[in-house]
Amino acid sequence: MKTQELLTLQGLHQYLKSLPAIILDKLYNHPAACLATFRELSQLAKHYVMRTLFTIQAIPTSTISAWVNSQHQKEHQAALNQLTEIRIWQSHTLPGGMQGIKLNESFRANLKTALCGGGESWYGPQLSKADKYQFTSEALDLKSKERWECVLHYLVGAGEDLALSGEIQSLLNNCGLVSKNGITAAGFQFLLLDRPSQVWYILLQYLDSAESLGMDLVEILSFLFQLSYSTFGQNYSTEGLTQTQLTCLQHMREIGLVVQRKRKDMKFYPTQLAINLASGAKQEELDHSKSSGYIIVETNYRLYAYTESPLDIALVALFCEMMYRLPGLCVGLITRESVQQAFTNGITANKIINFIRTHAHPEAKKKVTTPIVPSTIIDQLYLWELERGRLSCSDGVLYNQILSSSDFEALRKYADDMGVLLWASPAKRLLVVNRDGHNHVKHFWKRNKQKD
Amino acid sequence: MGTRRSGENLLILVIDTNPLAWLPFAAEMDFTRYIENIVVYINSHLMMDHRNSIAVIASHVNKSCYLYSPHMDNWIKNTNSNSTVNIAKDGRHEELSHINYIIETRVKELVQEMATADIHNHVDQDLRNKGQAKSRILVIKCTPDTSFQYLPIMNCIFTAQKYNVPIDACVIEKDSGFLQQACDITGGIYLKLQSPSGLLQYLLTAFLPNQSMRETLILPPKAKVDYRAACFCHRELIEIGYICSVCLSISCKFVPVCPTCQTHFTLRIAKKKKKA
Repeated sequence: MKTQELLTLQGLHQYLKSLPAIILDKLYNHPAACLATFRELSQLAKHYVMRTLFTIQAIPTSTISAWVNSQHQKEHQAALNQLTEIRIWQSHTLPGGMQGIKLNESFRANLKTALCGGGESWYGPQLSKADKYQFTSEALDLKSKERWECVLHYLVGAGEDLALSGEIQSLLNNCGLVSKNGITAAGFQFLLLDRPSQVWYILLQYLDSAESLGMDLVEILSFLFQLSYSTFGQNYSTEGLTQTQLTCLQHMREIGLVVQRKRKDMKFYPTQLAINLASGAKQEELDHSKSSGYIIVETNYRLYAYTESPLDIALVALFCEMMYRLPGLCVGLITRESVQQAFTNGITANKIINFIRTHAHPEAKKKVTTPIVPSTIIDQLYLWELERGRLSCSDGVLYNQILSSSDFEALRKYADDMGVLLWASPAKRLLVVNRDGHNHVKHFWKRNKQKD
Repeated sequence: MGTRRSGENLLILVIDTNPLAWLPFAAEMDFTRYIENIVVYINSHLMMDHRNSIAVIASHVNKSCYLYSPHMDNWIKNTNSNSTVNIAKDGRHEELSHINYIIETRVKELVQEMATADIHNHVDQDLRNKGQAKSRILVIKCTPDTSFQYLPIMNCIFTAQKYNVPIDACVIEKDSGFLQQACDITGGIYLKLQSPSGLLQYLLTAFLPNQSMRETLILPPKAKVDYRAACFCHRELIEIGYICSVCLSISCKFVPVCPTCQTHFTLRIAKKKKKA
């Protein structure tokens, strides 16, 4: 269940909220981290921060609530909560005894630095020099895509997993996307996410596991934020990075967030995957990197996948029986067995249909009159899914040997009103109540008896 | 996150870079500080959302020019082949320092170029970006109005109104009738500062919120607008006057030839009356 929850958990703010106060305060010692946190705030909260950025004394809470129209107090409250949750605003008692609010001092100092300049460069005093072997932006895109696909390959178990180091492998194993039997439901859901969300999810898992690897969370976070605000196509020097950050750099290099020529090379290039990671940049920027669709499904349950990528083929093979493999084309058959197999792995019919829709071949999308996925296929997938739901189990308590039918009726009515009745048979005077309701029904029965 | 993304916001900033007009305020805040204040405001706007963009137009003595526009990102590469310039030397966000560098250099160039001391206000609002769905214009100004530019400004205001682009104005010390009208017509915010000290805080408080945020926040109330027009001949505010039917220029007395568009008027009404 944990992975299910984690897959819906998104956004930097929720993550920061879960961090202890000490780590948060340390994190605000870096301009990049402050900038990233700032960008994640709601519009109103951003304005609040800007208004208090250059005001040194504490501001009374009543003044702040007067900034907002009376009909928008709800938004005001939300913004206020957001800011206090991650300790950007701290409550402060004014000299007159009024409640006031003050901006976190280190947050203020570092956001000012990011905004107006001053302080030390993010990358230490060393200016990076022009690289003799400058990577072109296409080369960077290609390299990062290659690395990221390695991760995805590992998830679908398409071999080639040797390219990943043990640390990254165990990270992927631990985050519940893969189990011993292959990809899990959460894993499939993960594959359907857009690229930035995927990266973000993996990074959250990485941060969670960082402490167990003996790495300092604050250092990693500020390094990642730094990466996300760097310029694409620009090389940066590894000088001035701490040991932890260097290890992190190698991990990021492995999943394609950073390109480095050699392990010992002093320069690295952040890739598109890393840039704007924390600034709330979503799909639109990275859409072009997504390959166009390749799947056509026919009413005879045949699925044509115009692809040569082992990853794409492995994905399709999760729910269909592969028949032929031709150059540039794979043909599979959606059968009851193959779909049932997918269901047992936790993949739902909806997920399969969505997958086919999002990866549909341009030719399939062209025809306006016919749906992308034929309706017979959709219906059949739902029917097959329903087959699994013919029996459902729930825990319950059986009441029997009830002497009079009036007692039985009273009991049945009570349980029914409470919404805890699972099954009842008036002829046999049998009653099944679910676990949660058992106590209530028992008490009711005792009370009833006493009255008699 | 449940927050509503406001989408792309383009801010067109028109700043008064007339150093002579700034002279009276030099004691409180010198010209460099004034530009610095504006640069921080620009940075704040860009920091609000990564999709926000900016165009800066300097209104200078006798001319106006772009200090920065989104198409100018390559400018630095053309003028300076040394690629180390645009790398942050301090803790500033790189993108911001890149833009700031361009603006600072351009202001320096501009001030050095200055030769004549012909003071007049030149608010030239370029609406080249009117295709943008969510743009707004902010004018920061300290030079007094001249009726010389009544027509271009009025045209500008109505174009802005048509394209639903609000014009905001922040004037220092002296009220500007033109900008008051501009803000009122286009639904922007007009703010008059008594002195330039605290300019940045005013900018951040009143002019940072974009259109969608303006409903939520309480911002400076609309001032009473003096809609009286100034006549073109003596620059006096008049309530009743003569208006050219071609270019709409105003004069306080009847003139046979329009001073602005050279149209010849014949006083037909007067003649008819004589016949009758």
